[in-house]
Amino acid sequence: MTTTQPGQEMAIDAEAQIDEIESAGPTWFQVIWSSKKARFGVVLLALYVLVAIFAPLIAPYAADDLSFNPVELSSPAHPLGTTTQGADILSQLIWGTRVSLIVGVFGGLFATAVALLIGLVSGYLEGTWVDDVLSFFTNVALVVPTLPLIITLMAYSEVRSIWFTILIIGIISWAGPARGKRAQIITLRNRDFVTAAKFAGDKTFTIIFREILPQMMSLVAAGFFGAATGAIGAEAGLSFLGLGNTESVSWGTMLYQAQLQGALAQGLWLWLLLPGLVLSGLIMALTLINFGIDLISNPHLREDA
Amino acid sequence: MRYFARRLGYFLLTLWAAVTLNFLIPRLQPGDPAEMMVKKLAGKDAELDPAKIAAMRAMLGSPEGNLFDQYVAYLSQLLRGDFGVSYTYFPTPVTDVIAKALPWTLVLVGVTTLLSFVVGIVLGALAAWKRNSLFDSVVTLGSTFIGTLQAFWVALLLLFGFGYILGWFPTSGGYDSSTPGFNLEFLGDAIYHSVLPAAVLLLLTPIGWILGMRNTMIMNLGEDYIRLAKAKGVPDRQVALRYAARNALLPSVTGFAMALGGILGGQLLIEQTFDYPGLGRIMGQAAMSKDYPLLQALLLFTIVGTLLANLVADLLYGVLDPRARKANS
Amino acid sequence: MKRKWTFAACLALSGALALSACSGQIATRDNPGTAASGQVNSAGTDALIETLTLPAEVADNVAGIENYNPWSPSATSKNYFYEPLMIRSSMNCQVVPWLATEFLWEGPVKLSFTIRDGVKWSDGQSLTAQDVAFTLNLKKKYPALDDIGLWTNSFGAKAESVTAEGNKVIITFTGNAAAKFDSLITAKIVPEHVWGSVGDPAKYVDTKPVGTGPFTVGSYNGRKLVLDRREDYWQADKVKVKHLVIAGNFDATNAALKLTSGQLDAYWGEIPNPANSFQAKDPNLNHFWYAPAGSTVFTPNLTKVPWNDAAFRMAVSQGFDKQQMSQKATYGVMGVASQTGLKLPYAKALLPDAMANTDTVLKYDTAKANEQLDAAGYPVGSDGFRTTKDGKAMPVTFSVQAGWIDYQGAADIIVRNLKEMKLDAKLIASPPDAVDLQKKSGDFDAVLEYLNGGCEVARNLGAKLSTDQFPTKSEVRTNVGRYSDPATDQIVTQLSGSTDPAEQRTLVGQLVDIMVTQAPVTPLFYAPARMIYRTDKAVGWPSEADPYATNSEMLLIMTKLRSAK
Repeated sequence: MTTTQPGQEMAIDAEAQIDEIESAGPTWFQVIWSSKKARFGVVLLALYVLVAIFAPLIAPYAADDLSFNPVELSSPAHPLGTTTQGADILSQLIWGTRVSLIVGVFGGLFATAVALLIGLVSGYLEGTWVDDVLSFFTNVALVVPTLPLIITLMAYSEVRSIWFTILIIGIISWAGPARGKRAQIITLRNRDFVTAAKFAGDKTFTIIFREILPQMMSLVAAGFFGAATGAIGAEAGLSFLGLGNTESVSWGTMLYQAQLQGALAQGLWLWLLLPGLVLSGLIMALTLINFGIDLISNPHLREDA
Repeated sequence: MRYFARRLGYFLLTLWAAVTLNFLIPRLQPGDPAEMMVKKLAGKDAELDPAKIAAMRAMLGSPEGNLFDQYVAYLSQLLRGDFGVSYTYFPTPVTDVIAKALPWTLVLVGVTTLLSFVVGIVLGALAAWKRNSLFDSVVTLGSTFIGTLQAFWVALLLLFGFGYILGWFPTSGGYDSSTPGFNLEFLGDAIYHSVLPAAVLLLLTPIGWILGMRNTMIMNLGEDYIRLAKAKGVPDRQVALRYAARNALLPSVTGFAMALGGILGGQLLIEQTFDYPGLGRIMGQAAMSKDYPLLQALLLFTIVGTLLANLVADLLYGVLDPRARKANS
Repeated sequence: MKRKWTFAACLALSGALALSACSGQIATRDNPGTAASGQVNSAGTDALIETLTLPAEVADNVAGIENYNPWSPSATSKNYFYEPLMIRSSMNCQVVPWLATEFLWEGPVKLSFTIRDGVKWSDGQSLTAQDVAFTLNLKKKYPALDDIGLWTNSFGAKAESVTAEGNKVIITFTGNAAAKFDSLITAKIVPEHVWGSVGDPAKYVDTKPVGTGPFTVGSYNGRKLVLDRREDYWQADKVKVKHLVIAGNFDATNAALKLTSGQLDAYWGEIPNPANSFQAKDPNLNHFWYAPAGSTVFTPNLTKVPWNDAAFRMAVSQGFDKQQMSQKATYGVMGVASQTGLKLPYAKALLPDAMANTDTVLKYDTAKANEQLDAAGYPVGSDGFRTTKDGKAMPVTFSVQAGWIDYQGAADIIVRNLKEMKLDAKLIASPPDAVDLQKKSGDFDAVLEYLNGGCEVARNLGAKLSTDQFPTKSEVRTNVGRYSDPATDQIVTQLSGSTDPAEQRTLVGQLVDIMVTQAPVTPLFYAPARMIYRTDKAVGWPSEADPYATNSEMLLIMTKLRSAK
């Protein structure tokens, strides 16, 4: 008969407990999928992504192909009609998906990355001069007037590519989330695991990015989705003011042209209605997914999926 | 005390930095205001008469000295309260131009922000309290959907639907034939013209409050002190109001203070779509036509407003939440 | 030698289509075209028109500031208080005497105006030559007021002195100033007894305008300006509008809506597709006339290879499908432009005899273009694109202003046409300010821009071909393409100093020759001066059948409008 040592018993017990914990908790994807709202969001987003990827196959014509009869209402060749310039509205809608998704992903990434870097460092080193300097920059960035800044930056670039737009959006939107991240990390840094890491002799950067960041992942993810929706909306607003990217036609550009060309007076309802709807749809998908992410970080909300 | 002093110091420093940036940014744009002005008056297809440009330059005056000298002059003017004369509305002083537009924005955006705040937190609290009911689902999903709509698009749709097609509301301006003043005709005219822009704002602004309040309250409702209150037998209604809601209100109140600060910026896209004579409209024009004095003054007001609101919000938080004060001193 | 130009020779008050022997004048002809619509005006009655509603005269007046100072960038009303010496219609180029009844050139350095009798300011005092002299001298004292360039050397020598003698105003110049005439007569005259004591006039906020014009301020509520007809106006019997309402600024859709519902009586901003958006709603009452004010031209950079070769330019100009461009850019409303750079048929009188009856529009013929390019020595390379004569690649980057939808439409076709001619062309859309920067620095391959079709050819076509009109670092001047030829400069100098119509015609003919044989710029389609109006209240608007003015001459139009009922 084998007798177990007291220590061994404890170890076996502990292992059993750990096994329980690891198998009891659902993975992040399961949490998101469990919520009906988030599930719908994932499906909707997948739809947009598919349209964007297969745009060359789905779209009947190129977005900047102006060779058709202008101001045509629905017809078999152009189910949604043509613009006053002679472009096919359906094609423009489909190709526009790429622009919005690219802006959303990369704009969101850029803004989140910068916000993380500055917010985390600033928050962890709260009370030191590093924080004072970084917070100062963040505050100034928050109050700098965005419209004149954008106009100034625009005037210097000869070609406004989509990456330029992403850069601009990143520049004007990192400050708010940075503040948020800073606040979050301030609450986290006094936890035990951080103290333990400090005693273990880890450097500041290691602590921030190896220890704390993983704990914040769901919050960071939620922040990313928020930034992405912000970027998509910002691109639409900029294009609507005529400050958008000049290389490709986005949904915002479609709205800009529709309004400028008196779409309503010429009977081109769809040109005005549809870009706004599909824009809302994409943002809705991302927001619903964000609901799911909220569930991960805030278990209290889980009961209502 | 240190807490408040630090905050004040920060405020002044940030103000200075923002004012400096505010001065620099428009001047970094290529092209000069005189040419811009003549171009605008001439229209798109027109030859630019060099005599007109020269006359406009003489009128607007060329700044003396290099950039640094201009900056120093600007600062000293500011300290004296002299905001200069607008280029577009030459020779009207900038303060007059802003004074004419300010009431419109204050009323429209101020009233709608206040209303939206009240409606938002009430709906949000109710939805949290009646979690998972039909009411909650409708409010949450509805708010989420409305939150995805772009403001300028909603404005366009309302304008076209109710203004052009149905003709129920006017399609531009803040008022029409009445004379401004405290008379019934003017007030009626102004209200009639603000219905559509206000509708857009009232539709979109409460969303943030609704969802924020709901989430915060749900989080609070899970806290121990709520359980304790319920266990003690405090009636549900009281638990909701005096415990949960009151605590959930905290982040919202500071958010509201910041929103008020943002009012001075006007709502550019909405005012532009409805041709509403508020600050946002004027700022858009000034930015596009390089009207430096007007633009700078407007931006200054916006910045000061935002910073003041931040300051007030921080101070409020310090007053309302003793934990914040302790943690920071 | 003295030339005397009398009232009789230069006058055409009733808009009659008389050919005049005056300098640089362009006579009208019958011209069917697509730039107008429907049947127009009856003769009207003598009754007074109760109110007429027009859009605001300046783009920005959101703030409701009241200032009638004619030099203010956002004057609440510019046209109806202070009047000019004479009015020259940009369409038929006839000079209509206004506050001055006649003018006299004694050589090109002395000009005198006879000031009309019996004109009263709105406060009852009489207009005198002293007021005119005062106004013109004010421009010397305060350069900010000199928007006509009287005291500078732009387009003609600067003035030396301005004096009043009896009822005449004598202006002496330091040199040949014949080119200054057109802008000089537009000077708005202000009363000495008011403006003499306001200090710096540029800073004067004029809220109670005392002018010679047909209206006085009725009421202004910050948004709507109501002007009342003056009984003691010097030609009050010709002004039939009792109340003129200057409403607000409207964008295209708003304007179309208000015009259709009768809330606006006329509009001159951009309304896309006016036939569809406005005229079709009521063809009897709704009219529009887009007069050709100039041409939209394709301007290559003449300092770069291959654009410095006239044969290359001529060949390429053959390959532009201008009809389609007009279709895309203007819904086909504006006609295809003549290669001469003159706005035809209005400027027909200026055509050299040899061209008088030919069609001066370069026909769209890709085959011919390719043939000529081959013949000019631009072989097609291995990649399918043409190379320079020594085999180097010559890509073309066409810059267009992003957001200017009509330009973008035309640019798209241009690039397509260039590709049809086997040129490696690319389209880049940049912000308008960036394109202006390119024009200033000369760092571009080709752009779209504007050639004015005004009455003084020296200032328009001439300037486009003059070496001293290259854009500078701080200003976009007319000669964007940088065409430079000493012989041409001579022609333009002679033309701008000439007051002899026969001489002028010869010189203009020489400039036209350059356009037609060298194509320094290629006119594509005409650019409009718009007039969109209703005829339910007032008739007598300028139209294709009666092209006596454009929206730049509102005073003239006010004296021609008559009541429709």
